[in-house]
Amino acid sequence: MSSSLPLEHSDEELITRTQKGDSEAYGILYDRYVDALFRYIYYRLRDEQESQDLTEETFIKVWDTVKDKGTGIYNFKAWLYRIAHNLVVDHYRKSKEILSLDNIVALSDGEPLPENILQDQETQIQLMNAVAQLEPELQQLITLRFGNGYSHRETAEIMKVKEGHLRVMQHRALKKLYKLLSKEVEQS
Amino acid sequence: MSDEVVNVLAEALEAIEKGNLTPSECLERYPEHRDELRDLLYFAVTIKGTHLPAIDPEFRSAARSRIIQAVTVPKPRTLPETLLHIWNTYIWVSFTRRPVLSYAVVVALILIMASVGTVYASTSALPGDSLYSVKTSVEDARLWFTSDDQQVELYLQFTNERIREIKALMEGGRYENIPQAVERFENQVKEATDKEPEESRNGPRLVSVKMEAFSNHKDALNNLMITAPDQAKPALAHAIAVSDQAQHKLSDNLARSTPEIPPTQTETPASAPAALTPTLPSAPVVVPTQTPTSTQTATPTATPSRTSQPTRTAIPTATPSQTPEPTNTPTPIENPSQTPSSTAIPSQTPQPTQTVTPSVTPTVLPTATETVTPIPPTNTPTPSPTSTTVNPEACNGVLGAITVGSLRVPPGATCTLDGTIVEGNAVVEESGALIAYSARIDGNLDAQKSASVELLSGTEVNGNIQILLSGPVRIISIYAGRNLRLEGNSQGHEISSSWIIGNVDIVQNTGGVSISNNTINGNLACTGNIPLPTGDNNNVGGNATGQCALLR
Repeated sequence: MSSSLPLEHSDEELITRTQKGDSEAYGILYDRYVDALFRYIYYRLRDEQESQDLTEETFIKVWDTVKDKGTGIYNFKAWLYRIAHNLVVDHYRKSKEILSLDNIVALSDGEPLPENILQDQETQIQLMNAVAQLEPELQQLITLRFGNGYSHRETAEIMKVKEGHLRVMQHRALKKLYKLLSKEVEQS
Repeated sequence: MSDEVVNVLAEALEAIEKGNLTPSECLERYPEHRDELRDLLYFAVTIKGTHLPAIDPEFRSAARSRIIQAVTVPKPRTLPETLLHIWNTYIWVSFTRRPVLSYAVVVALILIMASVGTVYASTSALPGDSLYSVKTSVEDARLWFTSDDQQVELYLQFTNERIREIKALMEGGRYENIPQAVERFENQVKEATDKEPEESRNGPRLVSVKMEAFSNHKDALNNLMITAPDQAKPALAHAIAVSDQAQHKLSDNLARSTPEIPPTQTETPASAPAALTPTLPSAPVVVPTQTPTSTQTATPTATPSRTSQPTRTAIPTATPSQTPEPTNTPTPIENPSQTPSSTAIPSQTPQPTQTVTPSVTPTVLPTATETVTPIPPTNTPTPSPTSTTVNPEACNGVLGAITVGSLRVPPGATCTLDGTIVEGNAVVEESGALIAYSARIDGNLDAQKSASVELLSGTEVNGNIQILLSGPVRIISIYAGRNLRLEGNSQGHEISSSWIIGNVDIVQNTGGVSISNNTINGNLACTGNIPLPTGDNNNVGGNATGQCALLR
């Protein structure tokens, strides 16, 4: 797992090294993004096993896409999330399951949660179910901004939209989500 | 919602994320928006803290090893390395024993080996390799020296080689080179199909050989399609369609010229897409057999013409006619595996028992004459249905792997095609929505004032695609056999990872258009879009102009 390459190598340099045969360089990219990518996918799929499988598949698909592109890789992170988004959308097409308490991972691991975290597991499920009812682009935005904690600029880069447009989408997404969750809380 | 509130919300969130302000300080800063902001701000802060699990460490480590293995590619020996190996092993040894004679022999050998070696090395070349042009030249030369009688078999041999190339490109992950192999495959299948009239003395035997070859091609391509990534699906789907059409053409020719010889294989088109959707329950092919007893002639409606565009005739809109009790009414097949309350795929609504059966003549959209078409489409513009009558299938719900004559999405309906084949045209009417996964539309696709159009995952449209004055458009990983036009649409659009044979025109759309990773044989022209289209990595055979000039 160790590599002689320092972590400050850029994504593009690591891709170039991988293209030249240094597969460990791709391992460094994997280490760099796997946790955030898993969280992104889990936020939308709400299934640990599926999320792990899709995370692995994303890294392989990204390699398949970029390996012959020479030095033309300008934003590996954007490619990664774009492909993950497409895989999640394909996954939704094949199976739509509403998350239930029975098939989620224990989210708190028994540790007491800070006050600003949704402590109630049922509320977390409601949140994720509500996110799943948004359009794919809004799901992606909510997940990147509030699940992964990316800034407006980073999120706009990944989603390949202008930042102004992203702000409009964010406002719309939050309003919709708030409305959906309020309805769910009322009904339950 | 005002722009100001949108920006204030975004700025407030950024300030909170950076730790510069608290939520209540933000609200104090913008008192005029306090009411509108309060709930959303606190809500956003709350959901930001949602706890998410970490990836399992064991899985993380095991996946890392698998991924590193997947990206490790053994370096193949290049031609110079091969020649060097031969030199070191065989030539240099004899050179050191008889130097004078060896010099002359060696020089001659080098010259011969260079040319033979080049030709030899080219036999395994793939599209995109520097020696591929040598390979195709050798093939053309062989045809030149072959009699007409034997050319058919040679063409079939070459089509087998194309399949082998496609397979090798798939294994090597070189998906962007697959269209080149498919294009040559299509030309050679056409030559093999058209050569040697069936009534000649070799006719029946050659027909049988051709049928078998095309069937084998189709099987091999269908197998590749099962594991193909989205990027490769459009090209593979087109190759399958080419084999399919060749088989049909042979059957039709045979039926006309030698009716006493039955075709060696018949296959319903629905079997091809069914292989693409293994998770669906198998659906019977719906073949409407009724013929309308009273029909009305469709009346064309005029569309406004622009000064910069040639005058267009709209797709004739059908006038429905009443029919007596149908004996076989095609209805959307309900997919029992889907959750009824899901929002991505709408719930089923039962179809009325009356069948709308207008007669509609498919109309081909003319291409814009002011743009250059370097590779004009060669296919017949108006496909004729072979085994079904032209009945516009009114779709509201999900259609699975069935074949319909043509398709109509009525106003307000949402139609999902999953492996469906539409042998004629498809029309999406006002406020209708169309989502297509791995579907095939042999005619044109026309959507005007529709809610949205999504063409995804290996969908193939062999005619023109025209989407006007509609909502969001997503075109991802499809094959388009002719032109694509998006005009006056709103709310954001995406065209990616697709192969478009004709021209692409993106005109006066709003909400943003993203155009990336496409192969466009014709031109890419963009004008009047707000904001400017974005994207990159498009392989454009013709010209990229206007707002899309830099999107190559």
